[in-house]
Amino acid sequence: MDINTIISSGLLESYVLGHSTAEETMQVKDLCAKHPEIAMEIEAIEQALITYASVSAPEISGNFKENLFSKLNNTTVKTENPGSAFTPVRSVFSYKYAIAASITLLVISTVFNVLFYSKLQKTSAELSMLSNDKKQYAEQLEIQQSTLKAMQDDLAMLTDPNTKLVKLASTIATSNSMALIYWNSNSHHTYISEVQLPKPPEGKQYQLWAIVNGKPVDAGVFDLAISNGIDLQKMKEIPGVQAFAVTIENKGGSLTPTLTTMCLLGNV
Amino acid sequence: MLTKIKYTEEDLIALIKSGDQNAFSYLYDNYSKTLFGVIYNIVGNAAEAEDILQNVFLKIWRNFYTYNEEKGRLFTWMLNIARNSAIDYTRSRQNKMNLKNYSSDTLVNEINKVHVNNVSYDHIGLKKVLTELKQDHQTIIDLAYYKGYTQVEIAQKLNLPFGTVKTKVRQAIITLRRIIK
Repeated sequence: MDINTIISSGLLESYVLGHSTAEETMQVKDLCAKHPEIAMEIEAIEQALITYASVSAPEISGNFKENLFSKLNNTTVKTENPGSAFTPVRSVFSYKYAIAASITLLVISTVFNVLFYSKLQKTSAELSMLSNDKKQYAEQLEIQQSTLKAMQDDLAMLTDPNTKLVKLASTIATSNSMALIYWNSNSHHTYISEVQLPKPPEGKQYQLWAIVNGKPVDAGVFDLAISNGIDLQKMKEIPGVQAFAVTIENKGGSLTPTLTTMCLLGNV
Repeated sequence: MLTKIKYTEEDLIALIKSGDQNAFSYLYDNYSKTLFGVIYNIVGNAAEAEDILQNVFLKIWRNFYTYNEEKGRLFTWMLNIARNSAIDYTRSRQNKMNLKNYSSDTLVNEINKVHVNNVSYDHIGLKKVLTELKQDHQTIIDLAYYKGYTQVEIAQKLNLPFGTVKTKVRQAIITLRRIIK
């Protein structure tokens, strides 16, 4: 290659500025050895850069060099490639550290596994407890809903224009005994409420009778103890009732009323 | 400047590699002002530049055994140490100050700021250099020299053809050579 072409190529400037590739650097070294002109050109470029930087800065402090050289004396200088001698030692050390680090990580990992496993166990126990609770609440809700439905039905019956209120009064003038009957002439639903009667004798039960066409028809037995909710007991559905009466019968009720035990009576 | 030559470069290198402080003192006398100039132009503050320069010379002393003549000029090797130390310092200082938008432009601005600073400079005189060196040549030489940009990177940064950058670097150095003669 022509020397002037090389000189004007910019390669030598790159080389001195530290920007040439390893390949270019080798090429320049070769050219320097062969052509003194190129070596001189490089010197000149370097000198120009050395001067340019040195004039573009203020003076360095007077005692700077002294300070630097006092620090230099505390610094041992490495003379020949010490790298190879140290390498195996360092690698043994780094293995040791690597193994120690691995074991440490394993231990930490195990601890966390145990912790997380026990936590998982606890969580699934809690979960099954909660789902049991949920099931119970769902059942309770179902019961409440059916109760509510029954009460709404009761209310609907009571407010129905076809429902008649019949007050049953005691057949004995001095007694305060009484009961209320709700009877729907359309649907024939019959309810008994506000029962005020003495406790029946042992083995006996109160029985309601509906008088239809002058004949008593069984409307069911009832207890004094009223279940929760509205004080209202459903009785048998009977059409065409003219009057209601209550007698004391053997437990479970009778087919025909015992007239001597009749205690309440009321006309529709 | 290399005026009182006592050692050839080969001798100098061999002596310093053997731990000769006199040879290192000679090296210091010949290159300290230049390396200081490089560092100062990057960091823009003389006190900080002196701290860096001290570390750079300590690095050169401790690591001299790693210098390989086959891989480049001694000057180039030391230039790289000085330039990298100063650029690293500037970056960590920027990080510490938490200044946003730190970019190459900031560094170029700092370099430009240094040139207009009212500090007394040396013999030949910066003024003379700068009046003779065209602005675009100065920008390019500063990027290549102080920022360590390759010619390809300068072409990309300034949006110039690579051939133009190459020519301008060369012309700038030729101008400098003429001025210092």
